[in-house]
Amino acid sequence: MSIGLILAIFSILVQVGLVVLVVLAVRHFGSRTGPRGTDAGTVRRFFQYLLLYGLMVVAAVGLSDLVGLLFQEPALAGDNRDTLARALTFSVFGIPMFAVMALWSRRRLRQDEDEVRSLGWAFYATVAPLTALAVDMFALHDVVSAVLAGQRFDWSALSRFVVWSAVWLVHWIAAKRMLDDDRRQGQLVIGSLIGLATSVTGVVWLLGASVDAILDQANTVLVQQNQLASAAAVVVVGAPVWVVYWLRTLSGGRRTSLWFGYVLPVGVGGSLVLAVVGASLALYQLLVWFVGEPASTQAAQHFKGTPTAGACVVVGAVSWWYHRQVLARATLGRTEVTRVYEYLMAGIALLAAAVGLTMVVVTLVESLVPAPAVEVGTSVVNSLLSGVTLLLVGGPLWWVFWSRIGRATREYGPEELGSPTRRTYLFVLFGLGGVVAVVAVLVAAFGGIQGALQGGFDAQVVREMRVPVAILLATGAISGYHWVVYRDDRSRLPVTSPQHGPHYVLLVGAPDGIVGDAVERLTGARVDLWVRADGLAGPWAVDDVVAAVNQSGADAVAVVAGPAGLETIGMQRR
Amino acid sequence: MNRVLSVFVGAVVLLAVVTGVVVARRATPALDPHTPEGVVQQYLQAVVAGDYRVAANLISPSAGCDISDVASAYNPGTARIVLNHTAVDGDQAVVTVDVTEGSGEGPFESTGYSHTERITVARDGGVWKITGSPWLLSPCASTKG
Repeated sequence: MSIGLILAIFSILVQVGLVVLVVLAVRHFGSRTGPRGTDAGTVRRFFQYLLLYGLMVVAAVGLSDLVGLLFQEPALAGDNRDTLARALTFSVFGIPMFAVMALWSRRRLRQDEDEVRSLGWAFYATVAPLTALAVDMFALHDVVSAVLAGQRFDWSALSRFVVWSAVWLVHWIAAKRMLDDDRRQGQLVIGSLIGLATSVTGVVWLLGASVDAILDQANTVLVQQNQLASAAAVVVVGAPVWVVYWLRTLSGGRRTSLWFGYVLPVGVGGSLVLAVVGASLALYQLLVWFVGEPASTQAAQHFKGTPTAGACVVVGAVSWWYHRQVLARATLGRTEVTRVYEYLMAGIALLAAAVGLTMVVVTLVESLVPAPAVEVGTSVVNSLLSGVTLLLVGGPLWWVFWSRIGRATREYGPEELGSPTRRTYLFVLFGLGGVVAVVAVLVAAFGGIQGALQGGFDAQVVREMRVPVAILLATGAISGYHWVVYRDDRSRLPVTSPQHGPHYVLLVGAPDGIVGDAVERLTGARVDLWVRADGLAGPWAVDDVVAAVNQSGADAVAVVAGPAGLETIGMQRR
Repeated sequence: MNRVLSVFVGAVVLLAVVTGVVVARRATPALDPHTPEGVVQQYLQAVVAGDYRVAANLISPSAGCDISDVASAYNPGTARIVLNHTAVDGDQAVVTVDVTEGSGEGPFESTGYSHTERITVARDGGVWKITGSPWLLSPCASTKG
């Protein structure tokens, strides 16, 4: 009883706390770019659009359930009236409430410019169409897979698909008309990501299952059509999403950081990882078959997963090539996005190579000190081959990206050496390597001491210590190498003098997403950008702004970009 | 513009109400009790209604089940059961049904889960009788094997 009461009070407190947190977050983010007086409006918008979103879901669920009930087959026995009650409640009350709320929101959006630029509206116009898209995709998958597999037609999925498609279309058009291009890019990037991931998964699955079906035909007793139908349904669902979101919309959009963030780490990087993982798996299967100890003597059994691995290589390579072409057409200098991509790839490849090195050392010890009893289900040769595969794949890949980064350090000098991505990469590798090495030392020492206390330090104790020692060797090498690189970086970076410039810079002029960040990085001051409402703003030139800021002796400075150039005004708190 | 929208919303709500009435008034079709699916329907209706005597009378003596087995077996309670298909082979038949069980008490709770079940039926003296179902007749000898 008392526990129940405590839990109930705790649950209420948690809910109240969450609401307070959300309100505080909205107030914080909402007041960063707008005047202070809009705080109440920001909280109002948060609840308004949250309610609008909830009502949209309620109305769509109610309508699709109701249409589904109309077409469902008659029951043999029993009938679920609760579903009908819910569908009727959601339709009869949810639809009018949503309509009233939507009308009110539309009027506010038309009357108030701040409303169109608000975070609440951007949140709704991003999340609502994506929710409809996700429900739509699952519904279409159910319809298509049932048709392709020759199963009973799923009317309820079809009604869900029709209703949620209408919801998606209305929100797609609303977002296109009432959300500026840059803020609409969030929806487009997530939609493209969903479309790409679904299409790639579907094509890999379909290719693998098809090759499996063809190769396995002679040995198959029962042909399982559901695999192929499900895979084909995933392609049918994913491809149109990718075409609408990426090919027809986002690919021609403005080249923002978000755009490059999708094309580079996801499009190019993700595809490369997919191809490399597929190639590694296929190579491993081949090596085990020819050199190692395969679990089955039948080729069909041993190479069962290889078609899917091969499909990963083909699809990953095509996707990688396509995104490289897209990137080549978009003029991109060496930005932080490029660095994130290259360091991420180098990191993943290095990790694979490190695991490979660890496995090679482990199998080396295993072969030198054989097990006292026969171990069932383990093969030293296969372990060695998996280690060699990872080294063969990860090593050269790491070298390709690391040498590319090395060329960039020579070409760009301090800009590259001092970049936050490089710093983070070096610290993460050095730090992670250090933590893992410490744990490995403790585990190895424990194993050694335990063995010595029990029966003396013999070959078997060395064998027991093989894994932590191998990890220690690999992480020690990585950590040490990157510490040397970091020290070398520091010696090549110019000594920075302490900042004496303003702590706060207010830029007033044309809207520009880059100038604020650049000035913040180059001056070390906190920067806010306000847009001139009179339309007289001249274009920003980062070097001129930085020069103007540095020349000012004030603690805070406003830089106004007008038709005649920059005007600098020193400011102080009262 | 607002008037058009009001008319549209009103029409959708009206259509929803009409659909609800149509669905609510739709009667469950009574299948021929001299067919495998007909006897399965009678059996399922009796089980869901808790009428174990009627249900036990529909079970074949070869199933090794009596009324106490039927009463102690699983009762789905609120469930919607739809005929999937019937496979008849001479005096034996398998009736496959799709079951959606359970529902949330409130409007925002789950509407249950679906599964497919097989019920075996045999002709005994010219009358179709239930012989087994791993789902509803697990205590019976025929299902235990």
